[in-house]
Order: sequence, then structure tokens, then C-alpha cells
Amino acid sequence: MVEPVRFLHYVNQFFGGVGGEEEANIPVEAREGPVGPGRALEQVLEGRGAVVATLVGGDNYVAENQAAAVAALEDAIDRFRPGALVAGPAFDAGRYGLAAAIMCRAAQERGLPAVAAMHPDNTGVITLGKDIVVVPTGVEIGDMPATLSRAAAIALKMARGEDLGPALDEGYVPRGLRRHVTREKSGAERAIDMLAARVTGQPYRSEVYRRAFDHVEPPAPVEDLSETTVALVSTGGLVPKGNPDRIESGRTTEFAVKYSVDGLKEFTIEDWEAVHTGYYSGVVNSRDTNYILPLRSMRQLEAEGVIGGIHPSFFSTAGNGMAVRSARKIGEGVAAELSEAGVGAVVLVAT
Amino acid sequence: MRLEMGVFQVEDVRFGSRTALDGRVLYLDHDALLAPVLGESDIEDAKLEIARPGESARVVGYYDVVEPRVKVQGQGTVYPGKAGRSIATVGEGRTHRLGGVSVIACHEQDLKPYLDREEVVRPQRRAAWAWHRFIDMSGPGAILSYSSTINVCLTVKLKDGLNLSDKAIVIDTALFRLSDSLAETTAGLEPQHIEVFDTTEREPSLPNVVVVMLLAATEIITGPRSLHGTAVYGVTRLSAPWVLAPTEMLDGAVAGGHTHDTWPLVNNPIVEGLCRRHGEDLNFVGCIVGRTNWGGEEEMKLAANRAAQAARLLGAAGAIVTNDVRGRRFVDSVRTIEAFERLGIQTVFVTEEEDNEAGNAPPFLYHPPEMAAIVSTGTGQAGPFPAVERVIGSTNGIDGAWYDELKLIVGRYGAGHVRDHYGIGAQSCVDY
Repeated sequence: MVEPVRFLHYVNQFFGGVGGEEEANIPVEAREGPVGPGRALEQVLEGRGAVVATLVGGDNYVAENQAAAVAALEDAIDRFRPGALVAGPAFDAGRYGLAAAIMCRAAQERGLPAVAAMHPDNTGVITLGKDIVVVPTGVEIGDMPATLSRAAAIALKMARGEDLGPALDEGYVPRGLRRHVTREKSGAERAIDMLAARVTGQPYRSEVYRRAFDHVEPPAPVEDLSETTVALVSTGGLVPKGNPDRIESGRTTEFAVKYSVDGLKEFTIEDWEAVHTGYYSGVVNSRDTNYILPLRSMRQLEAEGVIGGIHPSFFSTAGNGMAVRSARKIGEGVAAELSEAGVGAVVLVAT
Repeated sequence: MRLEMGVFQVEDVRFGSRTALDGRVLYLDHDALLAPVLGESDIEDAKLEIARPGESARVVGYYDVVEPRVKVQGQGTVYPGKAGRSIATVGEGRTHRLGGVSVIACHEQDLKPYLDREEVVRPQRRAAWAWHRFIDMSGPGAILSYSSTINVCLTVKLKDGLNLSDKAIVIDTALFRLSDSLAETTAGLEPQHIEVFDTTEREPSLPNVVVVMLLAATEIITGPRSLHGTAVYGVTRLSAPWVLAPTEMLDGAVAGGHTHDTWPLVNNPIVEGLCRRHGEDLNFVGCIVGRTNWGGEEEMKLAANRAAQAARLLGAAGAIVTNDVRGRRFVDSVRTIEAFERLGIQTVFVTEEEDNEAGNAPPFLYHPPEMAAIVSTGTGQAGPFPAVERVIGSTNGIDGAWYDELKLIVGRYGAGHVRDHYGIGAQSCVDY
């Protein structure tokens, strides 16, 4: 006989029966046994587990007092020794979803398997979806037992220490992790089957889930360019001829180099070259290096007073095939240094 | 168009006193086959070797892989337009193919630029010579299509000073002459099996579909008139979309070279598969070959719109879209898909994806909602590759490390090993 798994369940003030929006600031509080949807959770567990306690928290409270909320979770872990946490379902309620996600992540970090349930576009998924397991729900409060049953199945599996299979097979929201697999049919067979399904209106399943990209908010336009120092940044691997610092010519992992352009009118092919693998043989290295970073044109704008000045150094790296995490790290470093130097705008030529 | 494909499956290739097909054994007259190659003024040296599946061997520095085919009925010649061959329209009559045999051209290369580049490489990067492509014939690294064919490998050492286009002509001339010699051994013989590819008739009740193959043009590097790179009837330049009958593809109207191999273009399982489904549950009404590497957004969109317009005029309701390299060429592909979907032609996109970096990077550079049906052929990641006893191909002044275990190749930015653009294999990725 397998020992039933002890479940901890997180719900918000509304599902905890405390009240609506007016109670959204209540602290996280533990109650013994199931509360509200926890009863349905216990039912769908069918003896494989029992809801030993429920954490009820205010939607605003958790987001605004994360440390205290997590402390309440820790207390509950000590007191009730749960084997798994289920949070929600939060449907499309954004703050509830975020609170559920925060609790799940904190539980996981403390070794407690955790599953949340909410709509895939819920703030909880958007902000923490990479780190937690979420069972998708509809937008509106729907079939509670079916949702909880899917969450419980995954939580039980995790509590048994088993690895989770692919997201769409197990029924959780993809976390952005892609793993290599060998499928049953060849790519060509799958493509033909998918096309035949699509053109006849049959269901099909795309093999790449569309996800949100990082969104970078553009800064406000420069107010007065004639008062602004402009810096030059190249992802074209622009370096002094001979590449003295031996920067990587692609798949760059480490850093951007910095070279002085103080007093320099333009880049010349005698003294400069681009080591970006896509530019070895092109115009840049044989005709005009300024193609990759327009120093000559910028000097002209500087002389005409269009821009306030050119920052005395430029940064360079080779952007081709660069991993996203490397690009982020390198970019943050360059941005910080330029910002500190009082640079107000940057010309970054796409390569 | 209707094409009969006569198949001669070959089970062994051996050197012998004359070049001939004897049942399922292909004999090669080593000296007679090498003589015309050595007679070329731009070729300083050449060698001919055989690599068999299961052998502890690695073919390195290969330039192209072709399958020996020959037209025995109908106009034109296979691989039309390559290295001065006839440009007569192919795809009708009868073609013979040698199954299970590939002819591979390798060329001796000056590795110095690459070894210089290696100094640039940080320790965690794979060694610079791994930019060169290779084929492992056995072990866990034997994952390419040509790991399981018997490979007749022609390695040539070219005269110094040839530009990329000249190199392409010289290598292609030698390669296709050799391939022709092998395929011509089937002349007068009855194939073991004939498959008929016929997409002439359309069944009005079935949906019409097209294949859209997007191929990077090398014009940006080599200029418009170069013979270097993938070619349509020999033409490599940036050009408006081409419309071809599926059977033209089987005769090699689209062929590779340098970084894209001819073999998967004539053995394209999507083209073959759709031909076989033609008249069953869909009509396969044509192949649209588009070029990528356009100069800017407007050109990209124009090329995409023209491909979609061609599909519409063919009456297509659906399209399978493929591409052959990532980076900016991926954006060309996305623009094409958007143009098709705008016209109501439903697409399925077959593509490799980017390295996921353990959840840190998205699968694609760009993913608009129109890209709704995707088949992933993985990231191109492969390896590690165990040490081998024999190295074939570009071995002059070779880095001895080619014999050693080669590290895992992370698939990123078209540098991956597998490069399965047409869904030959079953490798893929799934969400976790």
C-alpha cells in the first residue's frame, strides 16, 4: 500500500471564503484540511493523497509581501510536512496567478514539488512560467474537478520523484525548455500529414509552441541631439588590423572589446578590419570599413553640430551565432559603461 | 509531367578491371575513372577511395554529395545546368538511379586560414577545423544520410589561385563526370524496380498543394554569375521564384554544392512523399523554388509575395515551406509564410530551430502568429563522434586531431552537423 501523499493547497482570499477584493490584503494563513476547491482536490485524489492543510492568502498581500508570504509557506511546510503543493486554479486572475506562481517557485526551491493551475496568459505564467509547472485552465471558472485532477496527477508524479515528460503529453504549460527527441515518423512524413490535416480542416499540433519574446521598451526620443554624446557600438567584429586582442569571430561568449576613436576621422582598411565571419571577404575589409560602423559620417554630423559629440571609445563584438545569454550579458555591460560615461545615444549598426 | 524512375540498388562497390554493374555489385576501374580528372589543367592531384557504412572512417572536407542518376529516355540530362551541362527541361521520360551509392567530392584545402582562426578561438569553443563538414561512417556519429550509403569519394587538389566560381566549375565537372560514369553502367539493363512519378492529372475534389523550397543564394558573396552554391538549372543568383514540376526535382534541376548537398535535393522526401500522395488525398501541383539573402525588407517581401502569387496561380490551398540556413535567411522564410497565409494558402514550415540554451533562448529568431504549423527537424546538434581509424578526403597537411574523438557540435546558426532541411530524419525537439 502506497502511503497517501500529503498535499498543501494554496488558494486566494476569494476561494478561501474570506471575501472579495476588499480582503485582498489579508496575510497568508494556514488552515488544517481542505478549504473551498481543496475539497474537490481531495475528491479527485481518490485516496492517493489527502489535503492536510490550506494556505489562504490575499492577492495583493503575496505580491507586495513576498518574504512574509514565503515565511508562512515555510511554517506550513514545517508544521504539516506536505509531499506536494497545488496552487489555484487561478484562471485568468492575474494577481492570484502571480501569487500562486510565487508560492510554487518558493516551494520548489525548498524541495517541495509544486503545481499551479491557471490560464496560459496569466501574469503568473508570463513572469514565472519558466520556473514552475502550470496546468492550463480556461479564462473563466470552469470545470474545477477536471482541472484539479490534471494538477493532482502531475503533482503525484513529481511527489513520487518521477521526471515529467513533454509538456503537451503531460498536460502542463511549456516552460520554454526544448529538448531533443526522436519522433516516430520522419520530418517529411510529419509535414505531409500536418499539411493534409490543415488543408482539410482537421486538427493538427505544431511542433514549436509560439512564445512571447522579451520586449525591450524603447527609450524616449533624444530631446536635443546637438547636446548629446553619441557612442558607436559594433556587432560586426570591428577591430584594429590583425585582431590584437584575438576576439572571437562568431559565437562570441565572453566580452566586447573597447577601442579608442579619439581624434580618428574614419576607419581605414589599412588599419581596421571586421572579423565577423560573415564579413571576411566582403566590402568591409576590401573597400570601406566605415560600412560596418559609420565613423566618417558621424564625424561629419559632429562637425555640422547635429550631434553633440562622439564618445571617444567604441565597443565591438561579433554578433553572429551569439547565444542569447551571452548577448544579454555583453549588452548589459556595454550599456552600463556608456550610461555611466554620460552617453545619451548609441549607433548600433545591425550586422 | 510523368517520370519513370528505374532503381538499381547496389550492395557493394569494389575496384575492378572495368567500370560495370554486375547484379548488385558496382565495379570501378580506378585508373580509368581518375584519368580525366588528372587531365584537367586546374587539378594538381586526385585520388579515389571507397567508404563503406560500418567502417571506422570519416570523410572530411567534402564539397558535395550526389547520387548517380542518368536519363535513359526523355530530353535533357540529369543535374541540368551544372558545370556546363544542358539546360533542357528535365522531368519526363525515364531516369535510372543507383540506390545506396553516393559520389562525394572532397577538395584538399589550405587549412592555414582556419588554423589561424583557431588562435582566435576560446578554449570552450570547438576547434576551428570543425567548421569543415565531415561524414562518420559508423558509430553513434553515423547519422547523416550518406553514412549509410557506399561512398565513392573523389578528392581533388586544385591549382592555387582559383576563385570560388572557378573552383565550383572544376570540382563539379569532375564530380558529375564520375557520377555519370557510374550511372551509365545501367544503360541497357533492366531496373530491379520502377517507380512512376506522375502528377499530370488533378483530381478536382482534392486540395492542391505545393512545395516551397527557399534556398540561400550566394550572389552576395560571389556575384550573380558564379557557379558556386545551390543552383536551379545551374543558376545561383538571386532570382524571382521558379516554378518546377516535382519530377524536375527528381532529375536534379535543383542541385547543391559547397555547403548544401545535392543528394537531399534529388532525394527530397517531401517531394517524393507528396508525389506518392498525389491523387490519393491531395494534388501535388508544383514546386516553387525561392531564393533567400535578399538585400532588404522590401526585396524580401517582394520575393515572398511573388512566391505566394505563383502558388495562387497554381491553385494551391496549402504549401510545405522549407529553408536551408538560418540567420537573415530565416526572416526571408517568415516573410514567405506570411505572404502565403495572407492569400489564404495554409502553410506547414519544416525547419531546424535554434539552440535552446537550456531554456534561455527561443527556438526562432522571429515567430509571428502566421507561423502556426511547424515541423521541427531539431537543432542540428550532434556528437560527440568517436575516434576513427581512417580519414578520407582533405588529408593533405591535415590536423591529426581529425582522427580523434570530435566533440559535440552545438547546433546554432547553420553550423550544426545534421542540417536536415527536408525532414529526412526523425530528430526533433519538444517542449518541456
